[in-house]
Amino acid sequence: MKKFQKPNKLTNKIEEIEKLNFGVHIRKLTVDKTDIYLLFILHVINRDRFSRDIIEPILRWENDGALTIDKLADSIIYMDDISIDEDENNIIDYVLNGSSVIIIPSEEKYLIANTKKIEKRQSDSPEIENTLRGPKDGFTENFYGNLSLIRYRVKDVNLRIERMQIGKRSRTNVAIIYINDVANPKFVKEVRKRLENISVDGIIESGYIQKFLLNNAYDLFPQSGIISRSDKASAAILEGKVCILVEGSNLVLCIPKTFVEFFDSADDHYDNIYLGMFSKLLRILCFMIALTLSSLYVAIVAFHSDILPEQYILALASFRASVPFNALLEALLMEGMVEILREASIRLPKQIGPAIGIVGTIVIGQAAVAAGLVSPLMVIIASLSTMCSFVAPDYTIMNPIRILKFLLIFITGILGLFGFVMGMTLITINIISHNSLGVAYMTPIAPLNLRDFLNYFLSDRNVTKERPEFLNTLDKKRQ
Amino acid sequence: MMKKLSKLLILCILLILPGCWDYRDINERSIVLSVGVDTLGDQVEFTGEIAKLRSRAGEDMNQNLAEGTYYMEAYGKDFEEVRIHYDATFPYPIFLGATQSVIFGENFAKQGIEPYLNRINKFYDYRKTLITIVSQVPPRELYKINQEKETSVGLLVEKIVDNLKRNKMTVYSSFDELLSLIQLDGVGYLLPYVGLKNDDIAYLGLAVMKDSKLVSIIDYEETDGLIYALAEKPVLTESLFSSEDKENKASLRTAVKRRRVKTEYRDEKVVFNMDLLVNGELRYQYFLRPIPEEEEKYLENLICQKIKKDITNIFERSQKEFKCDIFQFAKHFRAEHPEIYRKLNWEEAYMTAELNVNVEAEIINLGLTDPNVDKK
Repeated sequence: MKKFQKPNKLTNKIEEIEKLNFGVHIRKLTVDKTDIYLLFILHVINRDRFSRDIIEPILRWENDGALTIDKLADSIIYMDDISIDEDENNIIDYVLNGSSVIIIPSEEKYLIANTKKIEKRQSDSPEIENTLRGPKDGFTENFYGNLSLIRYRVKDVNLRIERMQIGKRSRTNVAIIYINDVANPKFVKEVRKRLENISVDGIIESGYIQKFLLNNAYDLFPQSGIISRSDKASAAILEGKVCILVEGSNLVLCIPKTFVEFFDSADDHYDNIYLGMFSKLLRILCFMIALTLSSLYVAIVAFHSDILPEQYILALASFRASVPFNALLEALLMEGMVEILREASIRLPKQIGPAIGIVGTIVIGQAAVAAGLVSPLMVIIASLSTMCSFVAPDYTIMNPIRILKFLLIFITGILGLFGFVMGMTLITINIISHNSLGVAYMTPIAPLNLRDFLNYFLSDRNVTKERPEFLNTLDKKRQ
Repeated sequence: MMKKLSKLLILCILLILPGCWDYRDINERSIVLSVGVDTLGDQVEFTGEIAKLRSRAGEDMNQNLAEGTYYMEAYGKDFEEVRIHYDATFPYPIFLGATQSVIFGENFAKQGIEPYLNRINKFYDYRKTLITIVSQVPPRELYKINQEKETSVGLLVEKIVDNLKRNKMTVYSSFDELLSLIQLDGVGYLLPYVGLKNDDIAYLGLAVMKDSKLVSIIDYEETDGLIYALAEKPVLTESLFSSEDKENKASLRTAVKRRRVKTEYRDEKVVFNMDLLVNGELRYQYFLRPIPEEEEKYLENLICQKIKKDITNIFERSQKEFKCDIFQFAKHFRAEHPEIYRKLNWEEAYMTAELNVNVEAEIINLGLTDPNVDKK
């Protein structure tokens, strides 16, 4: 590149960028003796728009008078999202972010056009929050698309979308979304503070942020929920919660989130009031089954068979007559096998996944019973507890259970029902000790708040006219 | 960090090394289904049935659960010695959690069952809901009877007795009631009495226990009075002859709707007043005939007489033959006249006691479901 005749801070920057050699293209256009420099990174810009809306109008320009940045912005360029800046140090940031920078060497300011190319997929039914009733538009990896899905549902002027960039190197866009006159300002402030304090090289997925939001990095239970459906995110925002949208992630975070809320599904709010109540109770029961069934089996078979009626004792003993392993080993073996199948079915290619699932459950289960390795009852228990671990709408609450289940089986195998109670006590203490942005994790059960308790179980806007008390929202009434 | 890890390791080792002290899988225990206690000469005899477990791997799941039972037998001069002999013959430790019945032989019952009741009470693994039964034939013979109705004789006996109690056809004290009854002087209790009838195991009546010793047997057919007086909301079926047509019988289901027992102490005599309100439902007649109002009254009167007679007969037998308060009137009297009760020797007072039974019966349903009954 030739030396600039009249070097200034912008031309110096162009030379500096050229020397750095990190993939920035510099395209020079000459129109009516005026040199125009376009700075961009080829693979992050939308090349069609760049050629059609920037290069083409500039080259076609045939007017008298000097070409200036202002003129380019006002009457030549077709781009919608443009801005003007004077600080030459921001040029690299703009270019890295997918924008194109237009510099006229004789000027002190430059033009930035947002030509960012976004690879996006169609919004379709989310895979982790399936629903029978309810909209199917799930979030995608497209940041702006996700924002538009929320905006589409909540048209309130008070909806606030605070944007920030997190990640020194990834510079990931993150948005804090809430309704200004509903959400508790303390929550918004705390979320903002925690996000601002994140000092990391990159944020690739919302899971990174979720970990930074934990009170303690070693906490077992999640303190923020994940949402993959826009209707659920909008409902959470309307409720007075704060949602966090992360660029490149199809899962929106929702905070504060209490333990029982993990068992609340959007369907409960759309369907009949009784069905909602029933479903919630069923999910909580399933949580208990997933956690305790195998360890109760160990306790009953190995220590306290007396608690069963006599016919059951005989059936249980006869089922186990040929099993060479003791109940503890049998339970650990079967639960371990189910976990292997679960892990494998997630990783397997979609085409053979279901086939392997059937092979795993039916063939291995049946074969293990026929071979006398495990009792049929243990197969039923392991299958039931695995099925139960899938009922929570937000699966993250079940992940700790998968680990704690083994702990509980082990401690029950050593100490019987006494060990079981010890284990359950420790788990309960752990759950109760958690908090999400200062909201007690077991709210509204501990501390007990009857109004919130009913609010939670009734899941009907027609009956529950006020927002939950524990959120301490600015606007307390829903209707 | 290393310190923490080593502490954790020590804790784990401590927990694992005791070898899971009570750990024993259910299939590695000898599951006792029924225990028989009797005497043979001067020796105590323990018999019983132990579940025979069978591997069911790869078999049809609809098959019967237990194959059957093993018979066990042991002798000794006392319970402890018998247990030692008993334990010496089994590969697995005895598990009494599934034992639903303890069957006493007549010989042992006559000598007194209180020591074994105390044993059941103090053994933590015995179920406290089990049924104690007196057997006409020694348990060792009872257990050897070949029957196909249930997987074991113990189970069959327990089911027969339990079924009769559920249907209000017998009345006996459960094990937890026995524990309190044996503390009351002069008060007897009733246990189910089983034996052989036409070479089949059957319920034969009630064994009367005084001071935990068998004193007499009440036949099944003679237990109605006790059921009316003691069972909770009893329902019985009576067959009565019609006043006009002696060939015709009416089957009536009687239900005690209200029973009140009041006690008095009059002229140094204990008096029990029992008021019964009985509802009758005509189930069917052997030959369908219209029932006029007078006939209805007649039947009501007949029921009253029958119930009154049943109760007084058994009361008189309890005074003359059993010499103990099998109606457990002592509990009523003690509650109503605690001061007098303390001064009385209940056994003597009961022998001279008087029982007034007042029965009111009302037929509430004539079973006229056949609209053509008048034309017939």
